[in-house]
Amino acid sequence: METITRVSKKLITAPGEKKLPSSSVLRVVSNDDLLIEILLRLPVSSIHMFKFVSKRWLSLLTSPSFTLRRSQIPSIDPPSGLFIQIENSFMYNFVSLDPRIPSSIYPPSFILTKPDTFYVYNLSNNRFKILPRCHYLNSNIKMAFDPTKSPHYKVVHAKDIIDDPILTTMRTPQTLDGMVFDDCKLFESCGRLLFVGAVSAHYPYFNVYEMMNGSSKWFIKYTFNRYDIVFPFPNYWTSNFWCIVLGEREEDSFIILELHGRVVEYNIQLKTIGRKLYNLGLVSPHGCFPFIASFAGV
Amino acid sequence: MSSSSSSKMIELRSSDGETFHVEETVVLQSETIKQMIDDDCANAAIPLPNVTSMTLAKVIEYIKKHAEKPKDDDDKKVAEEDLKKFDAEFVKVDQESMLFDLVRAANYLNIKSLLDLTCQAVADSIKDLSVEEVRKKFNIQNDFTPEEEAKVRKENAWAFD
Repeated sequence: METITRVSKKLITAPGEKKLPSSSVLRVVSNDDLLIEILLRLPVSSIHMFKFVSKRWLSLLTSPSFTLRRSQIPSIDPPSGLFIQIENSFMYNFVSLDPRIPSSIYPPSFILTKPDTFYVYNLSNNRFKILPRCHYLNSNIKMAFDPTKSPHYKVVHAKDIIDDPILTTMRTPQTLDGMVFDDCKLFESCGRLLFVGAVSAHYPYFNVYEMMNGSSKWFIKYTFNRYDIVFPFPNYWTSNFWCIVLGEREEDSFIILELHGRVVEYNIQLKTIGRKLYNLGLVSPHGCFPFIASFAGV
Repeated sequence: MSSSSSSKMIELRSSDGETFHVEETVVLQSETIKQMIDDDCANAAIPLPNVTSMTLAKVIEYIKKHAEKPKDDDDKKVAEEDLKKFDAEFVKVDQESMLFDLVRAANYLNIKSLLDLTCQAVADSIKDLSVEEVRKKFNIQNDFTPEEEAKVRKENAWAFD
């Protein structure tokens, strides 16, 4: 018995040989119920991608019961891409933040817009809805979707939250620290609300606050020095921050920011510039929307 | 100590014939065993023909830890943190096959929190893989014909390799 095990082990790991999964692995993966339990716990972006593994996976991942169960699990993906408006046009470039997804997956003509019109796009099937015209719409508009509360998404005008005096005293960190932020912006990643603020353009530190789950209290998540990023360009505003991607581990968390005409990843923990994602040219774009995969139907 | 030692012990027998003695209060986390006890089928050793002694020992380690009751509210917070750490360490197994054995055992014994924990660990281990890497890992053949593949690609903008 002992010898047989050793021989088979050797065969499995021999160079050039295909490494086969163990029987324990196969027993789980060949069982539909158990495989579904695992697949349900994947991020939405991986679910979309893995439909392509095989016919069996496609049928499991697209069954109505799977979609229903998955849409009730409140885990939310981090942003997996950005849509950046192309200069002097109504087209958007897709910039992928997921190394598995090529940026070319959505060519610029994929999303064609008209001026002063807001759309809600479903990227998986290229369907869209036009939002009713409204005088105060601008790029602070956000989509909100909580499958545990409602199967429908909401469109929220985020500026209201920052500008509303009642909400401000209650919800932004200003009253917490007794500070007034000249320069601030709201972000969302993995279902967590983040607030980046700097006291003034000359104050070297940015604070990143996160709203505590289930309450309207904020805590400081990160503090970073603008000189770490942009030396020797001290006038750096939160408008140059495009998106925050929270990783599972602290060292996997990034701010996507505009730096010298480029869109780059800045690792908050390691204080390093990572991948250069996109060349902007000379003009800062008007429109930039983070893309977060979800099961909201359009 | 006196209360725990007076608790009734339940005997479990693994597929390879090893027996384990576990307090009834601990073992009730398994819905399957709870049902057996409720139905009065637990007078002798409970046979678990789908679970090996190695896997069962891990499961018992898990349910024992999760049966610990905090004394007061202050203790509760510490205990919650402690449990989180325990769970994170628990799924860091040397052999990947053990994780999959635990998925099956949690499912068979119907211990929901353990099924959540182990399935999440498996999902985390594959979530960043490419389609081809998933196929390789689980020895899955791509059974789409080129026409079918094109159709899926067309219907689903995210289906790419």
